[in-house]
Amino acid sequence: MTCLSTECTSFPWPGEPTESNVMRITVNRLRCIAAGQCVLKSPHVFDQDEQDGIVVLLTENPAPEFEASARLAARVCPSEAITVHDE
Amino acid sequence: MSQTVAELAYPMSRTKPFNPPDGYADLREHEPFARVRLWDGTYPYLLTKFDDIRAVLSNPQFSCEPNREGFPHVFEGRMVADKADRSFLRLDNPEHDRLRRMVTKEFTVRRIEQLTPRIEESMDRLITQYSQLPQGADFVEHFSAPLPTEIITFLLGIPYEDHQFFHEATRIQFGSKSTPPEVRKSLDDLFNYLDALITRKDREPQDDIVSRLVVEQLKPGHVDRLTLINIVRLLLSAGHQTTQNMTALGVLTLLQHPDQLALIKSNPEMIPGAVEELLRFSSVLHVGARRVALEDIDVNGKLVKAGEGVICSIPAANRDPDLFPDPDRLDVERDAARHVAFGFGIHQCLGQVLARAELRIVYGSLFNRLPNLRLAVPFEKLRFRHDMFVYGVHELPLAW
Repeated sequence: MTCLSTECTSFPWPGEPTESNVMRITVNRLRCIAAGQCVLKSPHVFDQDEQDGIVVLLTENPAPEFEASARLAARVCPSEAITVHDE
Repeated sequence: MSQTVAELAYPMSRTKPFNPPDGYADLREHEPFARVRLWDGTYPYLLTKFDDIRAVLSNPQFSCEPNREGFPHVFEGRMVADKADRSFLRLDNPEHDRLRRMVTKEFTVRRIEQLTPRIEESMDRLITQYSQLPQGADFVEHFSAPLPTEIITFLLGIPYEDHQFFHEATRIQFGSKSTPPEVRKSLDDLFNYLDALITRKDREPQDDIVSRLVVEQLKPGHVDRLTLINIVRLLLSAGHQTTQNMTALGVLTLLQHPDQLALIKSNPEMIPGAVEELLRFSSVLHVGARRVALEDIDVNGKLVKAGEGVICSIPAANRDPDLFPDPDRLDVERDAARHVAFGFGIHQCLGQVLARAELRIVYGSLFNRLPNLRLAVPFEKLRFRHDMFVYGVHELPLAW
């Protein structure tokens, strides 16, 4: 699953080499219902598209200090549009 | 056992105003898929476990469309309104997402942040006006009802002066004792009102949600007029009714838990967490959420057959001790983030960012502006909204 947001292009795409044991986040923009919970819980990792409120992933690999909030965002997402990959 | 279970009537009554009906804890432990009897003689399941409720609400094979056979109707009058509802609240996908996305941009975190000064302005003015009234004035009538109504009418572009009309419509359409003819008449009046509003916005679009929906969605033919009326009706009723009741019930809850109130007064950084805990604790959507199975579905090991109705009790889920230890205790310091007070799945509340902003602003300021705020009548005299689709207090006389 790739992030469809243009804002994600500056970050590593899936398949690109990343450090081991790094958390990787993917979002499914087709499932997203724009409830906004991820932005409230983890604003350094998630944003919303101005046009439709749909999730925009700011970084696929959150810095360690944002991992807990990103994980919480995934757990509370009502449409289960956020996936956390621990690799 | 099955006999007794079959005789459980729903909705059940509460013995303690802040707690869900006593029977829920027992059902959660012994009968998490209980059969309950509704007014029309149907027997849907009542679900009381957090995990089961989350599983149902996130499963697209459970439909929320009220015209399907087996959908649970909890009040006769509400059935009429639900069956007439063509908003995305009562539609499955793919149509749900298509219609919901017409308005999601209006309620993003950024848009609501921009709205904060407007909410604060309303709140400050309403507190000032309220404090000039005689002691014992009704906090619901003079504060918790006008505040969210001012904000949602501002956003939609509906004249605030008409608030008595649509407050009355909400009272009829969401009351347990309303008769079908009363509800039909009220729906007709409200639809005609909104139809005229849309005509005005079509003629002279302004900077508001209804105008944008008319220009961007109705005119190019992305949505038909009746559906648009339904969407605006949903935004209007959900935009004032739920927050109004959550605001007043939350204030009452804090007044009755002075140690918790003292904590948030001296630690304003605790307000966002306290809002989540109050949402969990209060769960004002106290009947529902309701679904009907479209096929045979396994829910955590329990088979629900096609056509069977399911009532997912939001208050029960939010008091599940597996998720929230000592669940009947109000604890503003607990981690309540996973509550389902706004529902779960694709129908989770569209306006939750706005609701949270309003609640944070009110709970963060009210008790500092009026530091001696207190109940003006004995607690036992309060009338709780047992008889309404959205729980709360009918009146809240306070002194300050």
